[in-house]
Amino acid sequence: MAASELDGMYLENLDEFVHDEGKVVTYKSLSHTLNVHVNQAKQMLFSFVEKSRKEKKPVHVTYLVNGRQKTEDGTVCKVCVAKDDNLEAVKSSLETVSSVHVYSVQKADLKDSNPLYMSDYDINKNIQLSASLSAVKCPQAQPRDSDEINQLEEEKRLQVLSSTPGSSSKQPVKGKVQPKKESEQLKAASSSSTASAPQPKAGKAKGQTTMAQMLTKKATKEQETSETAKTDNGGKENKDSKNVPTGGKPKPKMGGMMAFINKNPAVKSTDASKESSKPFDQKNGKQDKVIKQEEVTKKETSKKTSKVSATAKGKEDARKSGAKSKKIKDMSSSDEDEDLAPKKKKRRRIQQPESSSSSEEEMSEDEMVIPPTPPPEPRALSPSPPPSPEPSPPPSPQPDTKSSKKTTKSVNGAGGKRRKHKRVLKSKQFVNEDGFMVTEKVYESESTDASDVEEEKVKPTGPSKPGTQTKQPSPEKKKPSPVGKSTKQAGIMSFFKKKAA
Amino acid sequence: MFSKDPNEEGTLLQEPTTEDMVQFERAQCSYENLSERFMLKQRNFGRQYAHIYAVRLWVMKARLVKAAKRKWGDDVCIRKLSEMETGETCVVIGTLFKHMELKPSILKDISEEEGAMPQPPRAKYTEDADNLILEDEVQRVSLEGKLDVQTSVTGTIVAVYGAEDESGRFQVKDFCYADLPAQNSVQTPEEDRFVVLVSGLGIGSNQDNLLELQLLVDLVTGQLGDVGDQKSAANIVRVIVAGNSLSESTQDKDSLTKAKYLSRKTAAGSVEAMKVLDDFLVQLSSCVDVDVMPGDFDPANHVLPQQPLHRCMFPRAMKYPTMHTVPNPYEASVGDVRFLGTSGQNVDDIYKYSSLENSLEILEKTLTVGHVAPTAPDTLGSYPFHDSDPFILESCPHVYFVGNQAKFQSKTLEGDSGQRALLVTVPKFSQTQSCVLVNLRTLQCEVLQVQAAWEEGEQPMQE
Repeated sequence: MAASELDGMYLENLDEFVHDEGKVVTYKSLSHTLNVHVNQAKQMLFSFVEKSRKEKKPVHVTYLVNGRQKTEDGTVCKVCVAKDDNLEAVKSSLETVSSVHVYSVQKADLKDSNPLYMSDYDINKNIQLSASLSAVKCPQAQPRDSDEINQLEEEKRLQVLSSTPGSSSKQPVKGKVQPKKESEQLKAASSSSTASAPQPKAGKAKGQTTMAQMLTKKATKEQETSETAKTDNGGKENKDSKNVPTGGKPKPKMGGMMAFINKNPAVKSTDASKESSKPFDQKNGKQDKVIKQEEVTKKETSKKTSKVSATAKGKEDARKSGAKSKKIKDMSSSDEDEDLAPKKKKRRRIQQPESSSSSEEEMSEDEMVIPPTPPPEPRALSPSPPPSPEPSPPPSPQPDTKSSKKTTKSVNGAGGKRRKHKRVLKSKQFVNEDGFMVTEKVYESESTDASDVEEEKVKPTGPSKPGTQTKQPSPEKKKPSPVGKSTKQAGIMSFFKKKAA
Repeated sequence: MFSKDPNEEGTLLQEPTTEDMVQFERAQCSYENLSERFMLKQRNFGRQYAHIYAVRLWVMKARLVKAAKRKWGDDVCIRKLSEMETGETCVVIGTLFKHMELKPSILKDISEEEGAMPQPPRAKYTEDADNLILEDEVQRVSLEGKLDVQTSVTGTIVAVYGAEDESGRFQVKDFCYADLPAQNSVQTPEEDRFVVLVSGLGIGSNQDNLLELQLLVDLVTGQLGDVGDQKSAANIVRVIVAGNSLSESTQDKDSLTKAKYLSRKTAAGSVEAMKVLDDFLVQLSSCVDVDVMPGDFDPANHVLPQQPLHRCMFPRAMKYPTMHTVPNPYEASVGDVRFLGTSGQNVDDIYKYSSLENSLEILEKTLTVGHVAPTAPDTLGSYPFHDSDPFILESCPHVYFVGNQAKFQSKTLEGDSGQRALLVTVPKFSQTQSCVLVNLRTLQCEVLQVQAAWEEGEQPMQE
C-alpha cells in the first residue's frame, strides 16, 4: 500500500538528504519527515544503505544493537549505538543480541555521537507526531486542554486554602496573580487586594528613602514616639511600621506584649497565628471585611477555645510558644509577610483604626493561646526541654520589640512613603544589603539609648492614637529625609532608578 | 529484550514492509500514591527538634517491647533508666546517640577560641574514640559491649539487654531493633510488568549524556529497537526518576554571598537545565506514567521531606496527566507492589557518620532499624515535626530503593514473618548511563545500560 507507493520516492528523498544536503538522517527524523512508522523508517534506511553500497556511493551508517551482556554481577541489558565498522565487535561482545537496526545514515564520518542527538533535537519537540508514529501508544497520555488545567489549578488553590488557615498566607508566594485571586475567592477586600498588589511594587522603589529617614531620624523619632505613645494608633503604628523595616517583626509580637499586659483570655480568632506568617495575622485584623476568613477563623477558634479551656498549662505554653514563635518570626523575614503587611497596615490605619487595635489584641491573644500542643505522651516524656526554652523566649522578644518599635515609629511617620517601606521589605532577605544596614543601625541606637527604649516599650501599651498625631511627626521626618537621601543614599537611589528604567 | 523471550530474527534489516507497523498499547497497572505523610501542610520552623525524638521513641517503643519479649522471653523486665538498679539485668529501650568528636558542630565553628578554624568537610567523620549513649525519656547512660559503635548511628531506637556496672556504664549483652513491620501480600501480575528506576540524570553539567538519555527515552517510548523490544517496552508501566535530575553544577552557591546588584541579569544555571529536563519529561509522559522526585541538587527545599517539584517548572510536561511530581521520600503502590525510596540523602548521611561502606548495607540497616532516615534531624536536615515522625516504617515495602548511588546493587531481604523486600541501589545515570528495571511479576530487577560505542574497535564498556 503506502509502502510500495513510497518505494521509489523515499530512496530519492534519502539520496537527496544524505548526499546533497549532507544531513544526518536518523530513523526518527525520517519517520517524521515522511510520516511513516518508525519501524518502517528503519527498514527504509536499511534498503537505502544496501542501494548505496551497490551503487558504490559509500555512506556511513550507525546501527543500534540491543542485547544482553554478561558481567561479573550478572547480565546487563545493553542498548548500544555502534558505528558500522564497530558493529561486529559490539555484537560479539554481547551474549545475546535481541535486535539490530539502522540508527542513522550520514555522508560524513562522525567523530562523536553529538550530531546524532542534535539532528533529532527539533524532531523531538513534536511530541504528537512522535507518539503517533511510535510502536507504543498510551491511551491515558492525552494532553489536558487549558480549561482542564485552569480547573485543576482552582481546585488546588481551594485545597490549600481549606487545609490550613495559615496556608493562605503562603499563597502570595506563588505569584502576584494568586493573592488577587485568593482575595476574590474570599469575597472580601478584593479592592484592597488589587490595591495592595501594585503597592508592593511601588513600595519597592521607595523603600530606600524610608530607610534613610529611619536612619537619620532617630532623635526625632524618639521625641515623636514619646508624644504618640499614649494613643492606640501609636501602638498600631508601631506594630505596622515595625513590620515594615524589620520585615520579620509582626504585629502579633506587639499583640503579644499587649496580651502579657492585658491578660485577657478571650480567644476569638484562629490558632494559626502562631504558625501563620504576618499576612495572615493582618488578615485577621480585617476580619470585618474578610468574611470567609472569619468563618474559618471562628471555626478554628471554637476548636481552640475548647482546647485552651481544657488545659491551663496549654495556655501558658501557648503564650510562651507564641512568644517563641514571634521571636523566630522576627528573625525570619519572608516575602509574603512583607508584601501584605504594609498594605494591610495602611488599610487598617486609614479605614479601621479601632478595629485594628482590637483585632491585634485578638490576634495577640490567639497567638498566646495557640498551642498546637504536642500530644500528651511525648510532652510527658520530655518535660525538661520545654520548660527550659520557655523562659528564654519571653525576655528575648522584648528587646526585639523595643528595637522594632523604634524603627517602626520612625518609618511610620512617613505616611506617604510607605511604599518605600515595602520596597525594603520586599527585598526579602534578611541578609539584604539595605535591610542589613537598617537593622544594624537600629541595634546601635538601642544600645546607646536604653532609656528611650524602655519608654517606648511602655508607650505602645497605651490606647489607640488618632491619625493626626502621626501626621505631625511625618512632615518633620520628611524634611530631613531628602537631606539624608542626598548624602548617604544617593548610590542606592541610583540603583533603584536603574531598576525603574 | 528484557523480557527474556526468545526472539525471532530481527526484521528491521530488510526492505520496508507494512507488517512491522505495529502499535502496542502501554500496559496499565493500578497505582496509589501513599506519600501523603511526607507532604508538609504547614511550614512552622519555630519548633524544637526534640519533639521528633520524643515521638519517635514513643511510637517505636511499643514495637520494641514486642521484639524484646520475643527475643529474650516474655518475662524479661523492661526498665526505664531512672528505675534501673546497678547490677540488675534488664532491657532498656531508648534512642542511640553517638558521640563523635569530629562531627561538625556549629558551636565549635563559631567559637572564639584562638586558632579555631572551621572544620573542612570530610568523607567520613568517624573516629575510634566515638562512643554510644542511650537516651530514654529522661536519662542517658553510656553503652559498652556488644553494640558496635562504628556501625551504629544517632537516632536509631534500640532495645539493649544487659546490666549497669558500678562505674555507671551499661554493659550490653545483647540488643535488638524493632521487627520489620507487616507487609501486605501482593498479587503479582500475570505478565511481566516493569517499573524503570532511574536517578542522577545530571542535566546541566558540562558532560551531558544527552544522547544516552535520549536513547533511554526512545526505548521506553517504543521507538527504538526491534518489534520484540518494542513489545517489552510496552510492558513498562511506570518510570520513577529518583532525584538529582539536575546536576550539581547548576547549583550556584555564590548566589548567597554575591551582591544582588551584580547578579541581576544572570540567570540561574538551573533554568536552562530545567528546560532540557522538561523536554525529556514531556517525551516520556506522552507515553508512560512518570514520577519525578526531587534530589539534593534539584530546585526544591533542602530539608527532608523534600516537597514535590513545582508544576510551573514543567510547563510542557505537566499538560499530560501522566506526569507526576512526588516528594522525597516517596511511597507508592504500583500494581499492589509497594515501592518506598529516597533520592539518596539518607544513605549518604549514614555513610558519613558510620563505618559502613556499602550502600546496600546501609539501605539494609535502615530497613532493619525500622526508620528511613535515623540521622535526621541530627546531621541530616529535617522538618521539625512534632506529632508524628513520617520516616518511621509503617509497613514493609516490597521494593525499597535509594537513588544516586555509585553502582547498582540489589538484594532480597527476608523478614521473620515472611516479609520479602527487594533492596535496590539505583546508580547515577550521569556516571553509569544505566537504570534499573524492576519486574513486578518476579520482584527481580536488572540493569539496563545505554551506550554509544564510538571508537573503532571499542568494545562496549562492561560495568
